[in-house]
Order: sequence, then C-alpha cells, then structure tokens
Amino acid sequence: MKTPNRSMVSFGNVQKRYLLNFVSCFVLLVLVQVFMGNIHGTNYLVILTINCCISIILAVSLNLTTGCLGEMVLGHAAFMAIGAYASAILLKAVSMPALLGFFLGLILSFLMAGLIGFLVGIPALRLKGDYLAIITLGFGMIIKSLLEVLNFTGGAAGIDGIPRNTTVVLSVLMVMVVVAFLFTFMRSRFGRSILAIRENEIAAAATGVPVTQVKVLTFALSAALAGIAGALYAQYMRSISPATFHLDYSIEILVIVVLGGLGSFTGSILAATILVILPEFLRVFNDYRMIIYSVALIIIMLKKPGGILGRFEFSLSKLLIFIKTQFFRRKVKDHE
Amino acid sequence: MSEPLLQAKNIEISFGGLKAVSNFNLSIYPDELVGLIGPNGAGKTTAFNLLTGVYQPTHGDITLAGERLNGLPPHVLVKKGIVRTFQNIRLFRTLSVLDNVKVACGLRTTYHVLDAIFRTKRFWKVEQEMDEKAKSILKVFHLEEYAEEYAKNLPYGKQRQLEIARAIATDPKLLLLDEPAAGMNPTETQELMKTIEFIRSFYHLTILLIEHDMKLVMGICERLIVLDYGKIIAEGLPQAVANDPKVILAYLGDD
Repeated sequence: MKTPNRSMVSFGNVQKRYLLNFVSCFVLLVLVQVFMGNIHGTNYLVILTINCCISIILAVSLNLTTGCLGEMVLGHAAFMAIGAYASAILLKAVSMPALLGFFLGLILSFLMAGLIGFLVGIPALRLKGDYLAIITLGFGMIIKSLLEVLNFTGGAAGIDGIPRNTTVVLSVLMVMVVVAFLFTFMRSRFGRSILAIRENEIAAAATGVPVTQVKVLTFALSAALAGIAGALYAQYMRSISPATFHLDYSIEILVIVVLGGLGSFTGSILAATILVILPEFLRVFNDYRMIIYSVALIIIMLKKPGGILGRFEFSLSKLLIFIKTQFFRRKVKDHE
Repeated sequence: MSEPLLQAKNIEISFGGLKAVSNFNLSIYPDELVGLIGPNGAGKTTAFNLLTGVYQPTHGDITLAGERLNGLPPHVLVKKGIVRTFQNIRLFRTLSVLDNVKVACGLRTTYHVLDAIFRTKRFWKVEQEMDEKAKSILKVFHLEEYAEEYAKNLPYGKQRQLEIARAIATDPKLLLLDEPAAGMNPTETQELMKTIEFIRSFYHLTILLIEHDMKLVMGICERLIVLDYGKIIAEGLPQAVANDPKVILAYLGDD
C-alpha cells in the first residue's frame, strides 16, 4: 500500500496550486456574503452555518493533539470556555466597533487559552494515554467549577449582553484561516516532528526531536485554536454560562475527531458538518433522534474504524486534475 | 594518537542495588570502528543508553571531543553528533520512508514557524534541500524505490537499513548501532557489512556497534571491547580478544 502522496516536491506548480486555493476561498467567502450576509443573525440557516464553523474549529484543533500528536484529551471544551470568557469579559468592559471588537476578542481568547494550555501541558504531558485523558478530564471539571464560583465570570448564570460581533462571513473566514494554518504547519518540519512523536516517542528523541517541548507547544497551540472557537461562540450567542462547557461537549468534539479520522483535517471538517446537520434532519423522528444518531456513530465505527476518511486529505488541485483526466479519457474514447 | 572523539571515564549506573554497568572506561578515536560484545545481560545496551543520554550515570563523566555531556537529554546529544539505532527496530511506522528520513533532516535546518505558515521562499528552498538530501541518503541504502511506502511495509532487512539511514540524516559524528544484524539472514548480514563499510568512509563516521554475529564483528571491527556483568573484561584487536581466556570463560563458562 502506498502512502497518501504528501510529498511537496512538485515545487514548480506550487504557486498555481496556492493561488487556486486562495481564489476559491475568496469566491466562497463572497458567495457566503452575497447569500447569507444580509440575513438576520438569528436565521435558521445562519445559526446552522455558524454552529458548523465553531464545531469545525474545535474538531481540527483537537485533531492536532489527538490525531497528529497522538495524545488523548478529554477537556477540550474547557479551552473553548476560557476563550469564550476571555473575549466576553473584554467586550463587556470596553465598548468598541464590531469588527475591531471581534478581532481583539479573538486574539485575547487565542492567547489566554494558549497560555492556560501551555501551563496545563507542562505537568500533564509527562503522562501518556489514559492518564493524560484523565488529567485533562479533571482539568475540564476544574475550569467549569471555577467559572461557576468566580465573581468576574458571573457565577453559574454566566455573562450576558455580549455584543454580537460574529457574523457568518467572519466565522467562515476564521475556519479558513485556522484550517490553512494547520495544513501549512503540519506540512513542515514542525509537523513532521509532531507526527514522529505520535509514531514513536523514543525514536523521535533519538532523531533529535525535543519531545517534551514539541508536545507542550502543540498542546498549547491546540488549546489556543479552541480559544478562537470560544470567541466566535461568545460573540455569537451573546450570553455564555459554564453549563455549556460540560464534559459532554468535550466528548462530542472527540467523537467528531475520531469519526472523521484521526489525523485527517478534512475528515474533521466533514464529520463536524455532518454531526451538526444530522440531528437537524432527524428532528422528524423526534423521540428517536438520539438513538438514530448514536446508532449511526456505532455503524460508522464498526465499518470504518479509522474514521470516515482515515488520513485522507482533500486537495482541490488534485481533484481538478482528476476531473480533467477523466474528462480527457472520455473524449479520446469518443474519437475511437 | 589523536584526541579521543568519545570518552567515558569511570561510568557507573545502578538500578536499585544492582550495578548494571560499573567502572566503565571507553575511548573511541575519530574514524574508528569499534565493536562492543558480551554475553546476554552483560550491560551492552545499558552502556549505549548511558552514552546517548537515555540514562544518566550515577558516577563518572562522558565527553565528546572534550565537551562534557552529563545531564544532557537524548535529543541534545543527537544535535552534538551522537546518534543511535535500536535493537528492536523503532521506525515511524505509518509515515512514509521518505518522511522517516526527513524528520531527521529537519534537525539541522532552520526556518521559522512563520516561514512555514506563509510558505516563504526560504521555506521552499530549505524543504527542497531536505528533500534532495533525504533522497540521496535513501539512494545510498537502495531504498529510493520505497520512498512513498509506509515504513512498516518494508521487509525486515530494509527496515533495519532505514533506521540507519534515518540516523545518518542527522549528520552524526558518532554512530552507535545496537545489534544491526539481529534477525538478518547471512545474505542480508553480508549486505549490511558492506553498507556499514561504505557509509563509514562516505560520511566520515566513527562507529561503535553492539553485535552478536561474530562473523560481522570479526569482519569489520578494528577493535573490540568485551563486557560481562557490567564490567569491561577484555579490550583489543579482534583476534587477540577472541582468544582471550577470560572472554572464552565469559561466553562458554568453565568446566
């Protein structure tokens, strides 16, 4: 079996490929703006899209630690909570124009969640596998309890009256930025070090990879990206409370990652979208909704234990080349 | 003689009450090919772990070209030029053969995270250099046709070769091979001997190897060190060591 062709060697075409991706992202953004930009923020379709975006960012960020680095994390929602509260508190304290507020809140969330991730990572990543999972689980519970008792986080009632700065275009834009960042990051010497640690920690160290350092920084980065999802969430929902960031939510994110395929960002995006939209379609069945949903999960895991996409990644240029060759072949056949 | 490249002075390590290695003195000179042999459980791999920073000695000093190495973790020692392979193969199993080598190439390349994220000219240049270097190393080991294959799918002998290839990619001064011929058939061992001879001169390596295959040891090593119960019991030219009564006693026992 050949590995998925991930070599970066066709340097000649690379500019074209990047330009293609860039242009298609831009076109997608314009389309989103044209079709959904002027609809009111509480429209059903808009809610669904923004929920998808938040789920995608959470899933790809968790995939960085769980899929690429190979460390089980059960408290990802806690980092989202930190991000959400950081931007909520900032935006309540200082009033500023929507766009400026959005990005400042986002940056603060990114930094705060990243910092906490870094601090948690230093002791936690000394442990492996199940132990790390339990530590992050405990951390998630601590964060939730802290948010419930602290004064400046508004206790169990949380914070409300946060300005609604998140728009559908900004959400889609952030998904693009985060995903593009993760792709470029993983396909560099840094990404290779992360994968090496997942494959064999001792060998990675013996090959010169500073294992502890890479682990902690990757964990912090993953936390910081979850913080971005939190910022989007807070500035969209307008009110946040600790109950949202319950353990269930962390597990839901983990389910998305495993379902999509550990190590496949495309898989995470696909699974996040499916798992946000599927329950909506199942509303018809009402009472049986959660059962159908759970059964679907079980079936997928039984049929494809590596996740829907395994480690496959989508590439627009490869798709175009594929379509072109298929089309070309048919033309040749027609001639005959 | 010139200054030793690697020197271990009076190294000792104990696990609980057990002295796994004690009074271990070792000097390896540039361009040497030294064999470390001894019966099972003699402490050979423990000695390797000490030299590569996996264990820290409870006593004694290790120096590389005069620089003290005590207390440094494995990945720093790799950067200083000591690299090793493992007795039980440790590859990045579900990365491609090429990526296995590229991880090691990444050690001495420098581009910033921002170079990677914004795909700057510098990033592409360095990546291309890494790619070429990795491929040239694979060529030396006749692995280039497997470049895109998962490492775990290689035949056993090739996996061992890949592990050495990966070690070479870190540009080491000293290469430590832990039983490179373990589990190989005679033909594969022959091929391995040739490879070791070749990379030694091609990359100007100093090599220390642990091996049980006496044909390989006698065939390529210039000097042998014999370890038993954590202590060096004999040292010298292969033929002399092979005829040393103490060594024969350690391997075969007395009647």
